Amino acid sequence: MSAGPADATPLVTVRGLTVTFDGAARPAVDGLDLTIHRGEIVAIVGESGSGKSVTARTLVGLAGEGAHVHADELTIDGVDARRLSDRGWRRIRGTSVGLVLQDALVSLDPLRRVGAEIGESLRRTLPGLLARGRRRERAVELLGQVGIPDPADRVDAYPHELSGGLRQRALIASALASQPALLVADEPTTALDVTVQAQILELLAQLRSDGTALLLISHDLAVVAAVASRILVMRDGRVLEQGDVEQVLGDPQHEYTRRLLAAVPSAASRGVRLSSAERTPTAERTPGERVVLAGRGLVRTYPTPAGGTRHALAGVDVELREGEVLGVVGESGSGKSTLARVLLGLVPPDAGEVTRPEGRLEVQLVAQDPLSSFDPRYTVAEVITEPLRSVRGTSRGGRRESVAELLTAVGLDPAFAARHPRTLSGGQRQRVAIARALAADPAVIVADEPVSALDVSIQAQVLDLLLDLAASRGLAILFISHDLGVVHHLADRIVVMKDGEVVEHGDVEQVFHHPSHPYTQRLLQALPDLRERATV
Amino acid sequence: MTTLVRAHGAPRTAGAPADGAASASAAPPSTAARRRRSGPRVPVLGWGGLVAALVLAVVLVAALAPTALIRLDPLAADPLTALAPPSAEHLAGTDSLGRDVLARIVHGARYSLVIGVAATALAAVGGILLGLLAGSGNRVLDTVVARAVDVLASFPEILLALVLIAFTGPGLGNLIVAIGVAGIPRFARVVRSQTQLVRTSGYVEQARTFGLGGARLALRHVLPNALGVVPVLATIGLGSAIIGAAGLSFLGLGPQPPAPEWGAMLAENRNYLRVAWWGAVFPGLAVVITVVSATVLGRAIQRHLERSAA
Repeated sequence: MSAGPADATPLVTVRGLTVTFDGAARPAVDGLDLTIHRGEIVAIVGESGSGKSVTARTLVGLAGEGAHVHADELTIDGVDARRLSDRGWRRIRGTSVGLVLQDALVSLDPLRRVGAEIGESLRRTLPGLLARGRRRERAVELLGQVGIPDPADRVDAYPHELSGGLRQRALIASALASQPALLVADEPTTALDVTVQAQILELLAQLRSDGTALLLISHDLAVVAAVASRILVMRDGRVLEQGDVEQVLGDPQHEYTRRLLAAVPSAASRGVRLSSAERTPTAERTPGERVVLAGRGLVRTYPTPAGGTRHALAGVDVELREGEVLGVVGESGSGKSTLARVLLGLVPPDAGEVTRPEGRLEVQLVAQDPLSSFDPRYTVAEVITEPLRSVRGTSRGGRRESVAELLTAVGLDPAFAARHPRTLSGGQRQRVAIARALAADPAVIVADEPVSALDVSIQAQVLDLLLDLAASRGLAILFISHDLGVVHHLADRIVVMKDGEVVEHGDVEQVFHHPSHPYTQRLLQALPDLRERATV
Repeated sequence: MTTLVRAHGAPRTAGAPADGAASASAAPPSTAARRRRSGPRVPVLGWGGLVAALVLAVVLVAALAPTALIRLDPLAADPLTALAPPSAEHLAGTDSLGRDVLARIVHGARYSLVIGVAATALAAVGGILLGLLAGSGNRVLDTVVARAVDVLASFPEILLALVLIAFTGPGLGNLIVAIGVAGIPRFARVVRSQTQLVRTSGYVEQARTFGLGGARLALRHVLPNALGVVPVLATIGLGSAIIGAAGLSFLGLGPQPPAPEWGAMLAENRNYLRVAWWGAVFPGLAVVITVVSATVLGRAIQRHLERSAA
């Protein structure tokens, strides 16, 4: 479609690409075919271990140590890349291919100003000391081009002085400095807030119209849907399906793609289980009217390094009723995690009042990273029984029984009790964390980004599990997330936070369909919609 | 003593750490089965660690029961055989007073070990206490303790020990105290940073949501996790304590003659190096081998812990 007859020769042609790492049982990438034309955005989607990042890195000659790359054809911008030496790759990376990684804070040298970083990539086209001024000019130009305001000032900023979105733009600017024909972007928006993500996606779309080809690697189907023209779906190193975005998203041929699409939580998935491709309704829940957890006029400030104070919470009212799921959404720094900590009693509020149920274990926490919330010395059984050991004198035998019960409740084999959490997968670990939260039979669970670190299909299972438990045990869940799709999927009511304040709250459907606050409207607009382009 | 006993016992029992009755009863059959199946497999601590542990075991036996290894008297002087070269009768030769060098080395192990273990224990206890104080979250306490430790650490350990002995005078007890105090900063710094790390970890925060706090939180989570590094540090520290002891004894600040201390032997025999090299070289080797073994074993334990944590 975007490849007109004028540029019929593809920029990148890959046939039969296989990448095997030393000591691995199976290849990380297995027989991949891929063509990218100029001015085209091709996306590879897949879950962890699918081989998508290895593919991206192989295309820039950075497959890594111990990687064995074989290909029937690997042509980049007319160069046979199979025979390239390290030097050859460096030349290619300097001219034909640019790479943008997920975390700009890690990818940019913290000790160098942004301008110097970009100037480094400009040395090839503008070499020598005399060209320093011209390199600087060009760096300012590039920063402006990627949409950084006041580029003439920002060129002298250090990476840590820029916000996440500006850093990512600066990183893209440095990748663009050598005017590459192909930009490889590995999860370029994953670490960003949704409004910033929208800006970066817009920037990527604009680059395409300038004639740059893009290979976009993402786990997020919605992001891909927003900008890509073609999609490859990968699993276990193999491409399961590829085609135009409209076709793959609208009429997926492979069963895995169908399951992946069904697993994406959104408005459309409300009331439907995510972890099955058929539309199975979720269990019925009946939220009550009684308030089980409430905060009134909560204020919490933190000192800033500059000597001032920052309001993490600036007068927040929140109410969680019996058996309901309350979604708290907001971008990083909005104060949603501080709210969770104050409600849990981990930090005292500077002002305001928290009303908790009687009993110390009535409010339990499920954190984003389960592994770090487990004592490294503990087995699964010890992790799960910790809340019980903390208060009541339950007998050993009784505890062993409850471990088996709890593991079954969260869909794990009771045999897991003796395992060590380190040997479990991410989804299993989060199930163990949920089992621990259930151990004391609480009335409320505070879940702080509980699925953010999980793959889509695992996330689907954990969300289904949470809804099941809420229904079967009458649990109230305070669900904190930056992901509006997830919240729309499972919450009954929603609280939108910004800069430590609640800017909007109410029934989920009400807020999502008729947002009254401009910030909520902006958030929702920025949300990439999977279904927008899913029509054939 | 505990350190060394645990260290040399480690390769045999590492499969079943003292986790409680359940794991202890489950572990032995599986380890035995594994051993039977694959014959000479790499030991838990690696070959280097195993050799180091064996060497230290020999040193330990020498310290506990020197007469089991050698029957010659380390103090029996015999002017007729003075400065005799190594032979079947005197495997490591004799010194200027005709005393058997090997017997003196074997009997000297006791001094090195006692000083090394006692000084390391002192350093560990002092360092752990200071480290826990500094890492406990009280900012004033942290500043005071951490700065004090910085001042201590700014002197080379051996110099610090030397200064302390200058105040207290030579002798076994004073030597132990001097070397122990000089070793405190090492432990204090590591324990402090570990404590801070554990105190702000996710699992400590989670435990707070279970209503845990104060002493119970410290005992259940902070202490065991923060002190996990101590055995490794102590094993490595043992090596430097022994070398410190030998160094100070060489200067005549340790056990006094005729005690067969390795450093003192070096000093006594250094004047005869040209005619009787064995008098000084063998005690020197004893120090080197013991110290290297302690360090190698410490690193091996560290690697083993890291691997099983990964």
